[in-house]
Amino acid sequence: MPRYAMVIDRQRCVGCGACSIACRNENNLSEGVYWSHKITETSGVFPNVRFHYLPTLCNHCTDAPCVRGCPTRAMHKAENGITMHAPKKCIGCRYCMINCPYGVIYFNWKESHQFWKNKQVLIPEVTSSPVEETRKVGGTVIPYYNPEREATLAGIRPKGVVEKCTFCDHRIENGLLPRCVEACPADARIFGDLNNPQSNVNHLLGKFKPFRLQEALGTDPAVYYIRDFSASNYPRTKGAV
Amino acid sequence: MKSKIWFGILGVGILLGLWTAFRVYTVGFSLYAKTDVLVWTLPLSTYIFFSLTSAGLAFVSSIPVVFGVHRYDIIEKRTVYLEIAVLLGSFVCLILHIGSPLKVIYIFLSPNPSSPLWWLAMLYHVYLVALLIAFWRINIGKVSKPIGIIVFLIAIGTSTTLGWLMGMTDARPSLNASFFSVYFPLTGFGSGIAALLLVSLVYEQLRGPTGSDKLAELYNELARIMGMIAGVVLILFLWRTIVGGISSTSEDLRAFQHMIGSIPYHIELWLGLVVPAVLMLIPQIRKTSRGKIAAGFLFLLGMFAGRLEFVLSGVIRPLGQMTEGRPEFVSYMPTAYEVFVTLAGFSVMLLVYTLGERYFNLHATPEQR
Amino acid sequence: MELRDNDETHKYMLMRGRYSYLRDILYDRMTKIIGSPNNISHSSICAEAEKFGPYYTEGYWGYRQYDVLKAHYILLWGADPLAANRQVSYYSKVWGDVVGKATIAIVEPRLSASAGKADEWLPIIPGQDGALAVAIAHILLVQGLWYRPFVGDFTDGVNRFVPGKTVDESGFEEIYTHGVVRWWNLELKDKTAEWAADITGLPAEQIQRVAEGYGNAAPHAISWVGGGPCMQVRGGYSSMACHALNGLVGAADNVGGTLVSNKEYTGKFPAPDEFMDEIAKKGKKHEKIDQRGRLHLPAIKSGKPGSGVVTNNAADGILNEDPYDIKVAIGYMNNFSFSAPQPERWERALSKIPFLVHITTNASEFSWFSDIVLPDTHHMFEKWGYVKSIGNGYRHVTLMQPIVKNVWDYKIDETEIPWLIAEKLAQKGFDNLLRHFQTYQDPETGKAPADEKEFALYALKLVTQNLWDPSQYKGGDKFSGWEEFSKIGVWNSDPYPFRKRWGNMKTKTGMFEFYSETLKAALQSHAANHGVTVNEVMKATNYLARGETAFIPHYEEPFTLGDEKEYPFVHVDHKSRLNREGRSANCTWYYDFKDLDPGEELWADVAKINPIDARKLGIESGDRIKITSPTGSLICTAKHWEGVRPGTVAKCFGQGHWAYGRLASEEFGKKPRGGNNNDIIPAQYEALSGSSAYYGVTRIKIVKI
Repeated sequence: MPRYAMVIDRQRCVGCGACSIACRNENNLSEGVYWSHKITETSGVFPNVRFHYLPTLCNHCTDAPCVRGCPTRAMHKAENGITMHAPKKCIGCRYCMINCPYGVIYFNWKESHQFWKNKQVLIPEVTSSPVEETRKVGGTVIPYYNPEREATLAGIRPKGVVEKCTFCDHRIENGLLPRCVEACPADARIFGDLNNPQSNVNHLLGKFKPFRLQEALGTDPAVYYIRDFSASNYPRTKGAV
Repeated sequence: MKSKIWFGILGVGILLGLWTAFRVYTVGFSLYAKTDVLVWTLPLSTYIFFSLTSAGLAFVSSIPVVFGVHRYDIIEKRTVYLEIAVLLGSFVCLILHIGSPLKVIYIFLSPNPSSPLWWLAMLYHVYLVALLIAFWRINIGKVSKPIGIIVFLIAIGTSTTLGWLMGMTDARPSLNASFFSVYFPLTGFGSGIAALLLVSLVYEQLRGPTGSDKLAELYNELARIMGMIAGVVLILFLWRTIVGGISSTSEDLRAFQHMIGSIPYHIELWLGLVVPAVLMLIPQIRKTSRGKIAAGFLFLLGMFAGRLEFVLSGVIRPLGQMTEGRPEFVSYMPTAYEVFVTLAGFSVMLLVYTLGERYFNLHATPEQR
Repeated sequence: MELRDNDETHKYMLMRGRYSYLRDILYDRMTKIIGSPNNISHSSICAEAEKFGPYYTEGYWGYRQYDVLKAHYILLWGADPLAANRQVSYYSKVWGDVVGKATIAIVEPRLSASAGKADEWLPIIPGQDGALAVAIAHILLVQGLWYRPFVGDFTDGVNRFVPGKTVDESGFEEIYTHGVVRWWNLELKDKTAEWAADITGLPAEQIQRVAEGYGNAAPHAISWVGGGPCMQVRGGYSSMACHALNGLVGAADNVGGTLVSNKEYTGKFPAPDEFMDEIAKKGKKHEKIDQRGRLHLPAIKSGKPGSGVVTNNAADGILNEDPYDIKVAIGYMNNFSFSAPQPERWERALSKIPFLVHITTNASEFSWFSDIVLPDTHHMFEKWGYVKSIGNGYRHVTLMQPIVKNVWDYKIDETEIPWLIAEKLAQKGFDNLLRHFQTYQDPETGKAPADEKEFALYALKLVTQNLWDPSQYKGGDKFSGWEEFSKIGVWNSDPYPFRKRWGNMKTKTGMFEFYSETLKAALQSHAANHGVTVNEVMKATNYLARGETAFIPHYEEPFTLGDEKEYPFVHVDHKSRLNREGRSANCTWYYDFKDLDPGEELWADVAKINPIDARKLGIESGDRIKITSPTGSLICTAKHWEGVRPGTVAKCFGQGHWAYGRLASEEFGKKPRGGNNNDIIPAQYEALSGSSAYYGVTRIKIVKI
């Protein structure tokens, strides 16, 4: 059985957000829900300032605190190491959100895609309402609905349950890479099987000293980071007293 | 007339709860504080408040049944009944907290024993059944010791499991430490006594003394215990402040550090702990009904605020990617619907209790076997 | 038809925004055959001044491509290749490798997306780019870091470029360049790092370090000129100065340097001439509505005075009926009443046009003033067309094809609509346009188009025939025919022929000109058109240069509107990585991902202020503020940010729509979402190229509201 993991090369990453936007389309996510996201920081004081960008997503921890705490096993580990969620078992207690150290789980406080539920026409007899547009183009709730998501999860998750990144398990099943990996223009995301010594992820993990988020918590994440976002050089110095 | 007004008020509270239930299940939980950071808020903290109070009442009810201190027999029936009322109040808040309550069935269909929440849910089911049996027995005048022991053990279970529930979240040490597995049952015990004193004495104030001198003596004893608990809790509370809030440099504890100085923190500290402890230290005050009522009320108020302070200290500081675009601490102000949930919880509890006073002769002393 | 009856065909006007290369049907042929000179493109609110420098140094009017993977030093001037330049996707792809190999220095008053990954950030005082560029040139020469195989050397090999000293021109033998010594004598000799430090607000050591690093990397040292230094009132010469560095280090047309576009072989549409009747020919001879070519607006694109567009000035032309009034106008995929500085002038101008048509995807601020709005196709999914781009030493011609069924009834802007108009005109008795369009025959069958759909397809096949027809093959990817080409969808050129243009550039001398004979001829020709001297042209166009300096890259003090006392901050406009070519303001994801731009906030339009300045004003992050310039104001949200230079306020362009859709505006037609930068940017021009000035052009004040 494979153990899927992702290596994110921060030097290759340019902070464009293509991963997150692609993820949103692939998984029919609503506004404010980021299965793929980032942690940014502006460090320093003018003029010694840099901007740093760290792409984030569910870490698919081996020892996932969200799985441990879930009373109904709605949140569970799949055999390939993916942390999966079954909305039909989710009672909406949000304990997984409390347990997750990475802030990657979202709760559907209301029905998703409120924007597209609007039946009002902006310019009468000229434009269409969001609902009509969705209907005309043959979408489901949203015009750009991706039915492939339904293979392993509700295409759009109902309100009252949580949701999060699934490593695009529905794509992996068909031999495709997660959408964020494919969409990354910089090839900064490398996906593969930790159990295969020859996989690209293992090549990179052997070559660099990777770090993972909040390693001290012992969750054993499957998302590894290598290199630095800023590959800045600087004038040689020993400093001064 | 008075009672009509009273039932009217409780009815309004319950209607607000039903209205809230209707709204949150149609519109959504966005009616609450609605962010992915403020995951748990007032409805949950109110549930914790009720849950621990009911566990505390279980401890009181165990004194005669489990430990054989028979001078407590005279309050047994009221205690157990109040426990049921408080527990029902807690269920109202819990149900209105979770997103998909109908799916609770999966707790049985798809159990996860590694989850403290699962244990808690299991315990509640047994708890309610055991309590109903216990009360049924008491009501027919025959206290059942085995049932009493079960209730006692479950109360230990629920109050400490709540501590586990919070303590398991390694990423949020503000909720953390096995500390809460001590703090919860202890404060719960205090809350239970406070609740019992409050309802009993208010009832006496309204209806005139119903009991004997023995009863009055017992109330004084309970008040003294409550004062002691307030004192002990005060010490634990201050140490929690010192260890987690002042001497710690951990970034992860900043949420708690931020809550120190908040309104709920001060309510718990001063009104909930210091004032009741002092009031109950003074015999002249302790011996008056009004003194006990005031202390009981303040202690409960303090605990209510404390549960909120505690829950918020776990959630106000966003973690991981939730920090994006947010300040280090998010501010919280309950929405009207969240207040309605709390009011509904209290209304259900008080309605159940009032009905009990009316129909079940709660001052009756059951026969001890 | 009424215009024709009255001999007023010149009072018809076509405004173009975003386009594909089938543009000439609607933009050029139709306008000409109707008989109007007024086809007004958006180019000068886009980038013309940026092309000015490359043209008057190496004779290339267009966007450059950069051989970044082989470069050792990349000096970026207000360019943000990771966010807002052409080929963002290509640069995004390779940048992680580029930063590992090359030193990257970026000159930009605010910390851009690219600056976030750069080795050196030079947060220059807005408008002072020219000073830094000439100082770098000065250091390159003084340190002897110029690239000798390109520029040449002193005949005796001794470097006589000594600060403050003039040099004898005859002692230097140039190879592929022209006028390096004259440039030194006229401009560079005193322009030391210390001199520039005061003007630019950058430490002299940093200037020195960057210049030396850049020179040591020659010839694999790119000076990448973005819009920032150029789209300014006096930006033409900064554009030249920044680009001239490529000449000094021999990076022009070289491996690891700055490249022009590869050859591509798309064809032209049939000529309109024989379909232009007397009315049309007469109409076309009128002066254009944007007043290009007048003394103060030379707009000398590619060396020809009056050949460049002055897009934003067309509003004044219409308003003042100078040279005449406009009676009928069509705009397509443009939104000048939002996207051009001082858009309020456009609002009045458009209201004045008796019959205005807008072809658009969004109900925009321009549509608001139109009599007829024709919904447009989506370019990626519903339109026939092709676009050209460059990158990595290749040119690509990419097809746009309808791949989904139209959901409602709308037509393709550049082909179907002009055909349908031609049909209508023919019905009314004027069939020249339709007859012209009927000559666009299918190259495979020779069949003339019978309807608008066939017309769109045939037009595309016709102009791309050289790419897909094996019998017409000229180079690059080879296809067996249209079917294969349309299936693959893209044609790639041959690899870049490095150094082929050395000594063979399209300048007057054929060389890389540090003393621009090309500009000299252009300016003299413009001056002659108006019977004045070049100095008078300089004066009329708001430049300070007099005499010979007008022909060399040099430093000009920036022209910034507003009194420093009343308006303490300089406005820094910049673009969003989510805007790119526009039309994203009505998408939820635009707001939900807005903070992908460094310093930005979600669902807000923020003005980024250095905390030092903000504290002085008592303004906190999140406060509502009003920004006022001498020509307008806007309301937005304040944000403290360290990535912005004290004394400047950076605000991203893109929000502030009061129309454009239910999301783009807070209340459609009534209340804008955020503030439009153009409301505070005055309608000023870099007159030599006709460009609108966006940067370093105005001072502003901020008030908390």
